[in-house]
Amino acid sequence: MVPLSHFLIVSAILFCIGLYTVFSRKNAVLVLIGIEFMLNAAILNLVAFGMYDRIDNEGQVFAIFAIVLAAATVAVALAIIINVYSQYKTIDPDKVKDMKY
Amino acid sequence: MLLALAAWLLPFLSFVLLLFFGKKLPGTGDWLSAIFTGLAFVASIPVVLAVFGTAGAGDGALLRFEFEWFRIGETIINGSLVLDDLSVLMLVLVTFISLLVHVYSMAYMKDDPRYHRYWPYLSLFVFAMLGLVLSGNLLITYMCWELVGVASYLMIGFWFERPRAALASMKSFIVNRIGDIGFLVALMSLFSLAGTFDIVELNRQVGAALPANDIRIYLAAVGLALAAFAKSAQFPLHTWLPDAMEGPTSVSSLIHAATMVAAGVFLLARLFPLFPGVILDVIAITGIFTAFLAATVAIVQYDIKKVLAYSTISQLGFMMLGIGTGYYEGALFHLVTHAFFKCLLFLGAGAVIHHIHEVKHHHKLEIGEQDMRIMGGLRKEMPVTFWVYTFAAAALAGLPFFSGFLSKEMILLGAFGWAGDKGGLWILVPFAAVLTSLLTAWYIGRQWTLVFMGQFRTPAFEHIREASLMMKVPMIILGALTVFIWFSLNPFSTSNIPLVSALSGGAEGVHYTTSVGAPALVSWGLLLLAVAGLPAVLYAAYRKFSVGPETVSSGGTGFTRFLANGWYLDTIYNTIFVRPVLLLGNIAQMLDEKLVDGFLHLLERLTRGLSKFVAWFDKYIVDGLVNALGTRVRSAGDFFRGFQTGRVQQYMALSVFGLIILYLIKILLEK
Repeated sequence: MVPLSHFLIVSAILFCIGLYTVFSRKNAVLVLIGIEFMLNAAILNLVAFGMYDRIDNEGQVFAIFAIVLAAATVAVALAIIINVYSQYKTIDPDKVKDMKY
Repeated sequence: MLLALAAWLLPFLSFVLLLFFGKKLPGTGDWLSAIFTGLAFVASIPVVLAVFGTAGAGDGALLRFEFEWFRIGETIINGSLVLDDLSVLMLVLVTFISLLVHVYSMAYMKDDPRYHRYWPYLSLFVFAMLGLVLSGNLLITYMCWELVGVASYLMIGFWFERPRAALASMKSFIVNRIGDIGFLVALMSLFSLAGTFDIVELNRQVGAALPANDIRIYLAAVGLALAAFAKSAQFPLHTWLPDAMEGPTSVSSLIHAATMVAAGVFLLARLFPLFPGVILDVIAITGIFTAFLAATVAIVQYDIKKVLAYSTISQLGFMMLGIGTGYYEGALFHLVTHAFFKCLLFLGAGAVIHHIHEVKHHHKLEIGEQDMRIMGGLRKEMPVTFWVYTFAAAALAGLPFFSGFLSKEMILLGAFGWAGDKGGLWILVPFAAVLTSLLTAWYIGRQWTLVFMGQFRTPAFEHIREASLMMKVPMIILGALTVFIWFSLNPFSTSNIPLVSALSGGAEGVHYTTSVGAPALVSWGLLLLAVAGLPAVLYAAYRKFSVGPETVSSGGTGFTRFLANGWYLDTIYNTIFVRPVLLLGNIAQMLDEKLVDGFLHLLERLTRGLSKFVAWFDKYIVDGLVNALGTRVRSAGDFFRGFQTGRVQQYMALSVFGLIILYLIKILLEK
């Protein structure tokens, strides 16, 4: 049996990769992918902790909800990105200046 | 009675009508004024015939007209008219002279731009004087007295656009105010003494109380004398009269003959019984001093009207002497004769001035139209004026066969008798009067010669024309009245004059009768003087002044200047009275400016300072607090705004960073 810490380490690595991606990319789609990374790291944690609940499998159930929600979020986020592109002809978050005060 | 009332009120009616409608009437109403005055004169004739001479028996024949005027508490004040010899004499004199002056003025004032204004003033003058004369109530007398002053003010300042005329009218008014105060004081004293204003009653009550030691009697007498001195131009209040020559000449003639200056003498005669002997002595001395002073000044004047003005003052001095010596019927007789000949002199002078004025305009000459030095030889061009003027001058000088001789003789005789009673140095008074008579002859002879005799001193005068008929007729009537025959059948005797005996009858036996029986020596001496002395003086004057233009230049010696300036009395008054008053006014003005205004300015400055402080407080403390709060909020906002970079990734990094910090804090807290 694989110990819990391994799941957590993988999850932490995934989260850090996602975090880095979100901070460093100049492409909004890649930033979105980074966010998905971090989301999936959290879902992985949910599944991993789910092994302590063998009867109700609440971890897995919650993970499925989270995945569905993540899919919806991505749809919305991509729609925003398309709109931003049509507005600014770019999807570099640094170049979208109108979000300032 | 009713006629007298009518005679009094007709000029008033004329005054009111002319004042409101004068401009619209044809001829600007001159005929209205003249006709009303003429009617007044006609109305006064039956009054005189009915009253004059009959009142000699005493108060019984005295006609009175009385009505209740007003009452204060228990005291009833009656308005009344008194008709006795004195008032009817003045009534007929005033209306007669006024009528003549009216007729004369129609021609004299014809070209004046304010012709329509002249007539109501003249009517007012006549009304006031008649009221003064007829009133039986001292209060009404006083009111009319003031009205006379007002009318004279209006008349003297008739040509008010000339500064000298405006000043002269003010001077006359102010000097007369001094006398009016005396009248007012006398009025109050008499009322507190007798409790009535009725003249007849006052004369009886107060006169009977004399000689008394009550101070109020003396106060009243001094006040009345002061009032008379001011109105009748006696020293020291005579200075207004020469200046009053700035008015139209016809007005001067009215003022000098019948209205204004006669008022003072009339007042003294009317209230004669009230005067204690001491005050009468003062009046006599003032009179003779004024007569002498004015005669000396008249000698050196070159203005034709100024000579006549000083002559009037001098003659009024004679009247005052007559009253002061207790011989008041003589004074009144002189008032009547003087009214005729002085009125005539002024009308004659007016005719001369009028025509010289015309010539001056015609030839565009730069000459003084009243300066006697440029006249001369006018007898050829103005024969009528010349002859009537000669008559009037003879009367003024006091030549026998003329009215002036009779009246002046009477006053002199009275003065000699009075001085003889008193003895001592009082004898100087009648001798001064004699000397003044000689001076009178000298100055009138000088004027007559300068104006009518000799040669023309200005060539342009050859075209001069005689006065118009309207001016001639009054002069001829007056000229006729300067002759003795109207007054006395005997030209050399003053003992049997109907006018005088009627006048003296009323008041004789009341108080202070003088022994008029002067020594025959004096009487003969005076007659000799009149027959020989006066013509001699006149001839000397004629010889001296009947010369060409070159010698008639103003003499420059100090004494002449002293006389010509009227003994410098005007200068003295200026220094003593006018300057200090002006100084006082200036000081008051300065106080006003510095003290009152200064205080106000101080207040104003304080208020301004206070409001400045409030404004500062408002700006820096109240507003400052609010502003400071605003500034802090703004800077805080600026600080926080810095975080809103608009970069999504940065937001994210910050939120992660914050999360980590929160987590670290949690760990630290749980340790």
